Amino acid sequence: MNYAVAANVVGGIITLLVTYLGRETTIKILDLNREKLVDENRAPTNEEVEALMRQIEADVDA
Amino acid sequence: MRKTILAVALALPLAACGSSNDRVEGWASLKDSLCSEASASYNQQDCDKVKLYDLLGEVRELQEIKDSLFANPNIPAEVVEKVNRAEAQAVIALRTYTDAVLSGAPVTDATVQASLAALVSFQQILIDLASQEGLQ
Repeated sequence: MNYAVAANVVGGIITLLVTYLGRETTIKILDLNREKLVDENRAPTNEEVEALMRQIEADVDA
Repeated sequence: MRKTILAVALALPLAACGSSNDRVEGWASLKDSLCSEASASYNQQDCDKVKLYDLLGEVRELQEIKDSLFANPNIPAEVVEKVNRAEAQAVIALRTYTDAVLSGAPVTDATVQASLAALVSFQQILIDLASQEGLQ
């Protein structure tokens, strides 16, 4: 019984950690993309805009 | 081993905080420069693209927040459905906005407003959910 509770707690912590790291990774990638545009002092290309839009659509379908 | 994993998990957000303000200011400055008619680099389509790109980034972050909230298995099915519906409406509106910008045609206020309204609605539903779950 105690093992089952402990397993659930550990599972919950791992789920939260993975979710958190996934979110941080996405935000980091967004930051890096913006940083690149700032460094190059330019607007995103059509392909870059389309790629981000497709990521958003893929997350809805997932 | 466990201590190392914990240290890395704690260090990541701290490292990310580093030059956050510089990045935010740099991005805001680029938007201003591309969208200011007085600026030498002003171009309407570039301005539309940078504004849209900014908005798309916001939605991507909201999607990540949604995924974090959905990690809680106790969220009622009707709430999940409501959040998913709001997300889908925001994405449909943004697809219309994106197609308009990428076509190079002038973007109407109605298109922009529809995207903003759908985005705000999606955001509000997530805020309500986070408040209920005590996860804010």
